[in-house]
Amino acid sequence: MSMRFPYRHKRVARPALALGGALVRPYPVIDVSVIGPLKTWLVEGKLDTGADDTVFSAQLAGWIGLDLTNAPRGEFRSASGGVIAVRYAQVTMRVARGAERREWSALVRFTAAPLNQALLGFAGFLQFFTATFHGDLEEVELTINRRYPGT
Amino acid sequence: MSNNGEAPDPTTAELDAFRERRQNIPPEELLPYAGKHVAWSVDGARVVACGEDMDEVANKVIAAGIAPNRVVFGFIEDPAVSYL
Repeated sequence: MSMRFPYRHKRVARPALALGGALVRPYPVIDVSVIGPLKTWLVEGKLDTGADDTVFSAQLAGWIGLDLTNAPRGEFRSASGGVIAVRYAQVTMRVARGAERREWSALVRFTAAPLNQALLGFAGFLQFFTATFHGDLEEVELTINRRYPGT
Repeated sequence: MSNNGEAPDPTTAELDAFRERRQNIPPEELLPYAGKHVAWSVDGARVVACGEDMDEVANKVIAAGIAPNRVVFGFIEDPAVSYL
């Protein structure tokens, strides 16, 4: 079984020359439930094969009941070169589509730095799936792989 | 309401319906929210709150009497910004 998610679309101010003058750009953004000790919230996140880890806003941590005060610290370098401080914490994530529902625990990063969208990177997310990006259909297909630890 | 008195988390069927409606929203309708964090209603795939960050949006959702677990938090990309 697999789960297929349509890309989300963003209007662009100027025609995207590299896309033949298209006025919208597609993005592999999906919704994922993030389950903490107290609450479960749904957030949109971008599937990012270039991201080492999965990263959420530190604000989300507070709302779902995660206390990051004594959480392990780390840092990462953004695509623009800036160094961003993070905290690591364990969460459960859930993705569901049609008859399929996948839920697993993972150590993810939380950052207090401005983060427009959660990054669903390799560690914690993509490592557990075979992800096929159907550029022609503007869909992404997720199939659990042998590393998938959840239910 | 669920047994603990809170609104139940959206079902898979609700999420599938949400994605369908979300997908059909013309991008130009989202221009007023460009560059903003938003909360989407699960039932109607409409923006119920927006703000500069998740905290602001979440507080607006709660103030509006909407259960935060019944919305999808997201971000509307700015049309004038392209990303590497």
